[in-house]
Amino acid sequence: MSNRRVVITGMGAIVPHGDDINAVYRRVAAGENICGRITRFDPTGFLCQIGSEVKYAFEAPKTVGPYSIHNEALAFTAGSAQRALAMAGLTPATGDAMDRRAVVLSTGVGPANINFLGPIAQRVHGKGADPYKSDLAAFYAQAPNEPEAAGLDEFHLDTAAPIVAVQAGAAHVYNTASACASGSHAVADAGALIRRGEVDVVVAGGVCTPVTRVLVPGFAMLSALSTRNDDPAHASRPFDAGRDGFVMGEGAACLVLESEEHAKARGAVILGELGGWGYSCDSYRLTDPEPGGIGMKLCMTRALESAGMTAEDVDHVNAHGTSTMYNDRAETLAIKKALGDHAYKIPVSSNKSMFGHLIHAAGALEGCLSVLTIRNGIVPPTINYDTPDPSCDLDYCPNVGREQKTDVILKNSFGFGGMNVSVVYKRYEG
Amino acid sequence: MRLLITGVGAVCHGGLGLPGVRAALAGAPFDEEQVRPGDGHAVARVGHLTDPDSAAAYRRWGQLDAYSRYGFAASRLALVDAGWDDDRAEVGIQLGTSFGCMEENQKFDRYDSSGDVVKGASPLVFKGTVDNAPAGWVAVAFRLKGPNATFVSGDGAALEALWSAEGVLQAGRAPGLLVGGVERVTDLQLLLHERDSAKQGVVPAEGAGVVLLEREDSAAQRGVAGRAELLGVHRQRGTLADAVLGALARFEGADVGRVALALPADQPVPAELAEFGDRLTQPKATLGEAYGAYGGLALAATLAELEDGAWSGRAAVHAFGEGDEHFVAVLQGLDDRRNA
Repeated sequence: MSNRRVVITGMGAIVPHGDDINAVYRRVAAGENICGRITRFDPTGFLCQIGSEVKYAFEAPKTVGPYSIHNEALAFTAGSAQRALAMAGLTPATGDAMDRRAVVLSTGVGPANINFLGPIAQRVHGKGADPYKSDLAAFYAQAPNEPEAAGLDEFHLDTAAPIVAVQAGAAHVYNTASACASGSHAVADAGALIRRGEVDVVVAGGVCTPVTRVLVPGFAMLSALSTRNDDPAHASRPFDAGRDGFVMGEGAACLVLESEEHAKARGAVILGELGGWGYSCDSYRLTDPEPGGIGMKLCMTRALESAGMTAEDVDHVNAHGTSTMYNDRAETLAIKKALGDHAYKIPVSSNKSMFGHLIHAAGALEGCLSVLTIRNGIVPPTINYDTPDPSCDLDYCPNVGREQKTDVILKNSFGFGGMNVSVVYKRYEG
Repeated sequence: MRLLITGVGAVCHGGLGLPGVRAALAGAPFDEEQVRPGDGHAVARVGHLTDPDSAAAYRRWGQLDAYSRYGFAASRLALVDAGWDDDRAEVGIQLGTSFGCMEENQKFDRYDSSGDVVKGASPLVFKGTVDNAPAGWVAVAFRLKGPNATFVSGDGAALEALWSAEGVLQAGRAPGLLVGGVERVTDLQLLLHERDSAKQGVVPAEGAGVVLLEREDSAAQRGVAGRAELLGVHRQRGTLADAVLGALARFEGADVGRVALALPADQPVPAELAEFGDRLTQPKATLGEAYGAYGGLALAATLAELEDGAWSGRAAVHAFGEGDEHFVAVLQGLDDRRNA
């Protein structure tokens, strides 16, 4: 089995802060909040009325090969992959070269296919249709005979990745579904494919459109979302004593990963390196993290081992940092267990404080931002940090980004089901 | 490092475990269901699964939706079959599915969400709306802290999970992994099925097939020989015949005793594979089209046949992947399960 170095040569995103990943980073590093009152539907009367939405017009392909890009999830995906591939300077592979490319996309967490119900119902019933009130039996009965025409094929969970496969000219495709850990899971799996020599190039990423009338109250029902409805700009406040849940966000992000030799051979600009990754499972409860952070610690330790590093090599932790009481406390404990005293010497910040939780896109977006943190030397802050929580006693880089030479970042992502993934991003030194 | 299949579990319309798979292979009848008045669908239905042993193994069994129950029961059976009762904290689980938790999603969608909260909905239902729920429940119940992944990659998802598991185990990231697929048939899926020209001639099926794939050093340490060795999972674009022949050429070994194709029974076998004669099988004829679970159920069927002496040597188990890609798992039967 080979042990090749894995480098990053492209990144793209369509997320609430924008569709230019460098501009997104600048806004995030400046601590700019993007969360606000939900506009995707009228949230009046809902327990949680806060979201993080893509509110601007963006360019995305209308069709990709045989696929029509007819809903926002697909547009986010195709648009972010297009940007990542353009940054990498890659055109679609053809012929046998396709066998050396893969796509690993994070989809399918939560009622992902419900995300497609709206557009489908509207296509069947007309623009005025309320997808969440429509009679499903009638919806089925009226569906035309061809599944694609009806949009029914979108209920398959593997809809988005084949589109990216066409964009990249990739023969191998798969989707990870590890709940909120999915984005980093996709990146880690992509790294593994390249490291062991299965392929040379992988487009890895995630997409999520969870700001819906089903998912928002669903997560709120689990007490997972902030209900600070009168002050949405300050709703996402990871590690702060006043945190009361996360803010649901939407968008997509992709990274282009390559073997070092492949990237060098084609003269690509290498943006960073994927040093290693680790997985673990809490095996505690389906929707709560293990409070002692044992599983979280394990995946961080495994990621460092995979990267051939020790705790002292880590310059910054890009935390999962959801802003829920349970996660932030357990993650803090886990970081201290994994890094020991070194945990107190480095900034630990949560990008989610600015843009909420993009669920299956979160790990990929925060991975992009980690690469840009290494390249630009400013650690994004944890905003809305006003009142320290005694159980969260690390340096969370409060409210203001910090200039700091950063060579190694440990990126955490944790999800329902107890899935934990940590990824090590590092400065590339050829 | 050799990788051994040391346990197998299954849930299908024929029943639980290998006896259930044998019943299905022997022609257990399909159900007949209506989605709309006047229509009829043959379905290889498991339905509401009651499994006293699973209920005894996990006190929250009653909270599990059907999709999770299938994955849970098949995984439990694989652990039992492998005799892995303790020291399994490093074990992980990788399952494939095509439609995942669609039934729970539909349930959730039917709640009235126009008010202040989702009226009448239970948080327990919401737990079932994540596609990785079965893998999560299994890990929680059996304290499996190893890698945990769910692949949503269409009909090849179970064998894709197996392909990925090879890499995880060879990299030393776990001593063993539960690997397979799980699927629950919904009314929406039946409608999709009837409109999908590629799915005609096969009966939609639900259930789960899971194997315990283990590193040889771990199995040896536990004193377990295994049912079969996984020589590898081959993935190849192109024709079915090229993929199967490519897989068998790639993994050297004994004579080919079984080639299980994911073709519907009414579709002709490619001429290039005719040389395998009666060693060719088309398990979908009796197991049905279990989508993401198919690869796991086909593995279970092939292992049942191995145990029954229906084949020896090598076996190739095929599943269709995305586009024109194929997955082919190549197994080497172990003559004496306990002493090989």
